[in-house]
Amino acid sequence: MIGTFQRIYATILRQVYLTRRSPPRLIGYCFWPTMDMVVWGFLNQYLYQNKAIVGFSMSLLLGTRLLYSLSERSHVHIMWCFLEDVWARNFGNMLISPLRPIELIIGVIVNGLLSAAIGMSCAYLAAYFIFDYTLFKLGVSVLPMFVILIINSWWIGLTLITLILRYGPSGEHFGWMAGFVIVPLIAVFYPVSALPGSLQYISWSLPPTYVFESLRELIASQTLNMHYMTVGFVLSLAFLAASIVNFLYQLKKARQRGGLFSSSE
Amino acid sequence: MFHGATIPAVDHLNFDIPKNCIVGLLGGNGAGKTTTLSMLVGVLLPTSGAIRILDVDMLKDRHTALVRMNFSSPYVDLPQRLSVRENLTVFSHLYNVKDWKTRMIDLVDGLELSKFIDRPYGSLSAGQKTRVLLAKSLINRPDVLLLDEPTASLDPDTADWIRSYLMAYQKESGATILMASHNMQEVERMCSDVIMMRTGKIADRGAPQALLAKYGRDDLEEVFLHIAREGIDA
Repeated sequence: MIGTFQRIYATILRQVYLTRRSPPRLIGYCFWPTMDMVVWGFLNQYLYQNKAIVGFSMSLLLGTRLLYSLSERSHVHIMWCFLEDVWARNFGNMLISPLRPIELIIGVIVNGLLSAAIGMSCAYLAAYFIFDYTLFKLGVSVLPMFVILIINSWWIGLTLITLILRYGPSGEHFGWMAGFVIVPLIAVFYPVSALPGSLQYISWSLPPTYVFESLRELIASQTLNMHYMTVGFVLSLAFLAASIVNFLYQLKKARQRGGLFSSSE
Repeated sequence: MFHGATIPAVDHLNFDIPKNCIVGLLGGNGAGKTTTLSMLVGVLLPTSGAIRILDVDMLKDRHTALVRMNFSSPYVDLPQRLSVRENLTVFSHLYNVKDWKTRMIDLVDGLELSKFIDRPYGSLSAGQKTRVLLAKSLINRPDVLLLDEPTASLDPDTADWIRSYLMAYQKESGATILMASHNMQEVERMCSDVIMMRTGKIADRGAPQALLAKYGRDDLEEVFLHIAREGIDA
């Protein structure tokens, strides 16, 4: 057990060293979510001041955008953390070390979380100081939403890593596409009811939808929809389990195919 | 058999290696040396067969053996932006090295890394990088060390220095080293046993002197050429 912690610690240590040695990387962590927040914040303010939408509140767009950024940055950083090893041709070294696949998974997840936490802290500070907005005005009800979205980012990140294992480093393109594919379907900027009928089924099968629909309800009525939270949480765990099984399966297939040593370009 | 290939990369490969020796894996390009080493460390799964290292079934529980093994290959590298010290620290934790600070000092002294210990790995020369990779592969005092062309692309002086260091490590630790190489002089000097590979199969095996006597040649290079050409003629 101590060995497991030490090996996971090694993967985190590697990422800490990398980040510490690269100010542009650290700036990059903060830049995207902060700029995102600033642009959406001003749009939000404009819509609110002009009463462009009936029932619009300051919390609506900023809140959903902040929560979505948390999930998006986390899954991007999970993929990034894995790609660092691929780009450096270090993945072979990791594979021949005693690091077990499940430890590798935990390592990239923790690294993804830490990197996302840095970025999101900047975005939250921007929201607070520029727009005087904080999600925590909504109370502790946002905490389960955070949990569901973080678990959600784990399975998306793992799925992206699995695609890289399957298609090689060029699989990273799926990672940049993932956010754009998912965002129209999970009710971030509009309710599920705004989607065509068939897409609504897909939307309700994705865990983040329950978070964003809950957030809308919470802002409108100050009550947390526990049913949505429960379904979202269970669905997230199911997707996470499936993504772990898929990763382990694809890792085994990659070992059968060969080429893991040279998977650097 | 690689996915999509019509002939197996290695076939009917059957060998055992005793403890406490250096064994050379010789063969031309495409003979299957790297494929064999990749299977031994578990990054490549054989279509069929069994692999046991340190009494561990590598196809079922390779991580138990990997704590006591290590590997160096030109196909893998280390994070370029991390310093030598940082890279070695990370790998000492990955291998659960208990007295890792002492071990690092030993390796830094032994492999003469102190002058560039805090420089980014990516800024080092080829010879310096090879020494760092060797330090990484010795960080856990491996009982089994697999080396894929350990002195490729090094100048003769550095290559000779690396060979001496490896031989000293083997003698002091009693480790088993399996070394794939194209360099016949290197194999002749370091190895007590040589496995000659040709087109994915073991063409011959024996001590360097025994192979020289068997083929009536003066050096291993001639033996190598004889076996390689025999394969072409066949």
